[in-house]
Amino acid sequence: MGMVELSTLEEFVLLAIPRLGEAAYGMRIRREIEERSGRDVSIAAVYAALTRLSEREFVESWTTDPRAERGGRARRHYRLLPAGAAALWESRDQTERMWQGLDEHPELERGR
Amino acid sequence: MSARPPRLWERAMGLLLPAADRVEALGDLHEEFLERLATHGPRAARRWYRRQVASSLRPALARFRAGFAGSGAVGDLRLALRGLRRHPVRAVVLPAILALGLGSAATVFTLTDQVLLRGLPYAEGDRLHSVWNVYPGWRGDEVLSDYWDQVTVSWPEFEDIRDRSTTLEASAAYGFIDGVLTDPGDPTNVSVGMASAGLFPLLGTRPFLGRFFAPGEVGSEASAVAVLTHEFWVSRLGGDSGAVGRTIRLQGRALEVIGVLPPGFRLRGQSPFGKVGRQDLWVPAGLVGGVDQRGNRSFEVLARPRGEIATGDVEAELARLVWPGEGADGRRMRLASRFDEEVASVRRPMEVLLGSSLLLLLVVAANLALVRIGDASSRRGEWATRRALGAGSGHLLRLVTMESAVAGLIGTLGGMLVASGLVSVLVALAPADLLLGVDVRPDGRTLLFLLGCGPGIALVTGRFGAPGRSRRSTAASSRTVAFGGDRGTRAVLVTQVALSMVLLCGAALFLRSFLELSAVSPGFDPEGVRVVRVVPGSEAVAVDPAGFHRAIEDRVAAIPGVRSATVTTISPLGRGLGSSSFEIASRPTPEGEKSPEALRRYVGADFFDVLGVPVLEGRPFTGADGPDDRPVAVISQALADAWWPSTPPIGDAVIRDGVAYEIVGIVGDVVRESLRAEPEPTFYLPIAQVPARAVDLVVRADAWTEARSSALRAILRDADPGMAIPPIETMDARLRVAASADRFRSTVAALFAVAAGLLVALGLFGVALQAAQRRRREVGVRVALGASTRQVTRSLIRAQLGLALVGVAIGGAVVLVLGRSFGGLLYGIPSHDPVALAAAGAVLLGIAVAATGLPARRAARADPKSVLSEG
Repeated sequence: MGMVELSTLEEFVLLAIPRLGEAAYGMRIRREIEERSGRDVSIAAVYAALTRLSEREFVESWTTDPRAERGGRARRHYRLLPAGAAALWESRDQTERMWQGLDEHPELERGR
Repeated sequence: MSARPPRLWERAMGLLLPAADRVEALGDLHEEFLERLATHGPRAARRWYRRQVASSLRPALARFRAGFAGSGAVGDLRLALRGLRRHPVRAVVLPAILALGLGSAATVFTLTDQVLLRGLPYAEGDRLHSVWNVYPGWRGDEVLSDYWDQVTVSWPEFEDIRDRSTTLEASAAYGFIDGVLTDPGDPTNVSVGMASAGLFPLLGTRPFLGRFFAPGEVGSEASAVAVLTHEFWVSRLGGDSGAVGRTIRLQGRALEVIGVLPPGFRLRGQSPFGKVGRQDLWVPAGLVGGVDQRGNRSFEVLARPRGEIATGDVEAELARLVWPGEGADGRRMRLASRFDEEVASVRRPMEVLLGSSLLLLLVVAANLALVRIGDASSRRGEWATRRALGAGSGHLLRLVTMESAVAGLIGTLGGMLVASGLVSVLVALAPADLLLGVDVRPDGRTLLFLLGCGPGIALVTGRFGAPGRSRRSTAASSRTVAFGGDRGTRAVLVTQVALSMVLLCGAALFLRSFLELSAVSPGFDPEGVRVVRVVPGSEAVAVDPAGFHRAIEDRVAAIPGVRSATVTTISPLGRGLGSSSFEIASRPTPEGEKSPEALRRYVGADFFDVLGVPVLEGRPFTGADGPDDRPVAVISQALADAWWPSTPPIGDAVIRDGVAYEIVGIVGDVVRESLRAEPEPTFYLPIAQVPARAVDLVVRADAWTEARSSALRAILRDADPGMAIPPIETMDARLRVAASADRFRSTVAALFAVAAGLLVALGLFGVALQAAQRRRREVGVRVALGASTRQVTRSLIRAQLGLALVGVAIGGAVVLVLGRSFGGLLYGIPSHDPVALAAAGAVLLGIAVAATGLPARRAARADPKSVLSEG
């Protein structure tokens, strides 16, 4: 496993996709991140992250037919690719390795 | 409430998104917007959308920065900036030329845009029409023929239109009078508008304070109420927020203030009898009478026709309403687009301004191209070095383009500065009626205009500074420069000279016209003459106006330093219409023919002496021509020529109102309103024999001091405490105003011409300098072989003088063709005036000789030894 670097937003986007399943498209992903993490993210940032993730072949996408409730515009759906899933695990491992033995550290206790 | 995201924000969002995701991302936002609309309501949904746009700005910027860095453009920009810093021509001269040209064009654009293009400042202003009476019978009349299809409307006629028309959506009447305000403050002259109840609603004006006139307050039973303009409310009532309900006094009559108009409200009268552009306050129509008689036509009517009805149908209906069965002498009604009427007088001058500024902009563009060509040839070494280091033609072109873009941007910003300065200068210079009362200042649209033109011009002309595609072509162009430049350079040079020729001719024509107009004798001696309007405020004075005037004349003439004083109903270049018909005693007008008409002035006994009007035959009036003496008249030269071509007028008589006034003298012609007009036939009657109430007091003094002016005011105040004393005018000022439109035109044209001349000099100088440089060796050889400096100089400038001559000829031809379109603005000279054309051509050729001769002489004087040894 090579070094994987994911920004927080990229990580959140990757995590939102399997959770949404069939409904994983831009607006839902943005909303999922906002509702779960409480972070306000812009649609442009979400798409920027999705573009980077596509280039690294962590996700793949396809377009569906235009819809009236979208001003006659198409939807682009996303699916997590194996490399993306691996990157997520790696990222989680990195974080957990960093956390090891710190759960009851007095300096961190102060922030609970 | 529309169920879609705010359009503008959606468009902005589209700009911020990368093309690959644009459609889907906008769809996402649309979808979520609709959801939020249902759950949170429209305001929250729109706010959310706006926040999305704002927070997408950062990712977009990051993307832009990344793309820019990757393309190598940053490096180019850095190089371009360095190049600009090192080369004053590129950093200073280019942007400066651009800023001047753009600034003047933007100035004229701003004037035209705000005065002409924006339409009237009223609700649905483009659908407003003036309604006029048309009297075909006036067409043959000497005095009234100008007004025959623009006759005002009487109140009863207006009521017919307002109450019975089915083709009009709304209509309103208004008129103007002068009044004297006696409270608050000292008596002051005010301009009073009279309005029907529908006027302000028709214009879409809302009260700033209070309310406007109700229908019941207008007409023969008009209420004593007034609406103040915002400006008047501020200046006279100190902007008192409790002004509504206060009482003011107009002509001694108490009026209750019921409202204040919004700031900047203006309504310009369009009647040729009184173009009033500014009012102080408005009263209900009918308050000062004038609404009962069908023949008293003192109102202008504004109307908005129903959308789908043709103008002809409206006119037909109005004619039926106003002239039922009276169409015999062809009287009818006419509808005229209000906008067209308002801009009619300024359209042509504005078009000339616009044309000149566009020409100047083209001269600027040509000049920029020339500077860039010169610059490019001097940079051949630099290009060669860059090529040797691996730069391709594309890269060099990109570098030059970047330089142009930077210069263009600096020039554009400079242009905005120049425009802000120039707009205030032009506004100060412009005759009041040119700007139609619009408060012109540069705004966002000026900036947009500049951003639209500036970078574009810089980039297009920048192409001329690009290196040739190959070494061969650069070598070829260096050869052809020797013969006045390559084909491109020559074309640009000729174009520039031709365009400048047009501008110079325009300036020469306007200047000649202005000089001709200034040389027009007003028919009197204006020096040291002052005029003040005397309108008695107290009714008591009206009992013996002649005595009142004589007393003032005598007392004013007694002020130390004052030479003489007199009164007249209409002073030269003053306001007022005094034309009337008369009969000639020896030749009564046959039945059925029209009586002769002429301007009539009632004047004091010393009138001709005070104004210095020459008495050509007979005698002027004297103090002995009193009310009980034999009625006498003096006529002007023009009247004598028109009606007594073969018989002597003296001894004959003019008959007016049944009284025969024996003609005792003939005097020189005196201007009436315009210096441009032909002298108007005039007869003078002694004011003592035909008393008039309101007069102009005309005073001549050796020199005017404040003490004399205040003595004059004191005498007037003492004679009638109820009288408003207007400012004392000088005749010189009146003459200046009369020529102001022409002075403005020639000043602006001269400014454009000077700029064009300088640019041409710069362009020719640059090209000549290169040519001389290029031919150094040839010159060296010729001088070494014994050619004189003179011969060499001549051969060096010949090529460019030839080009300048071609340009002058083309420009002259253009003026001959275009001239017809602005011929009407000229006075006393035709648009093909040979003197002006020759002068413009001579100036341009002079510039060409000087600009090309200097570098040529220097080259010819160079020491051949050092030139030839350069290798």
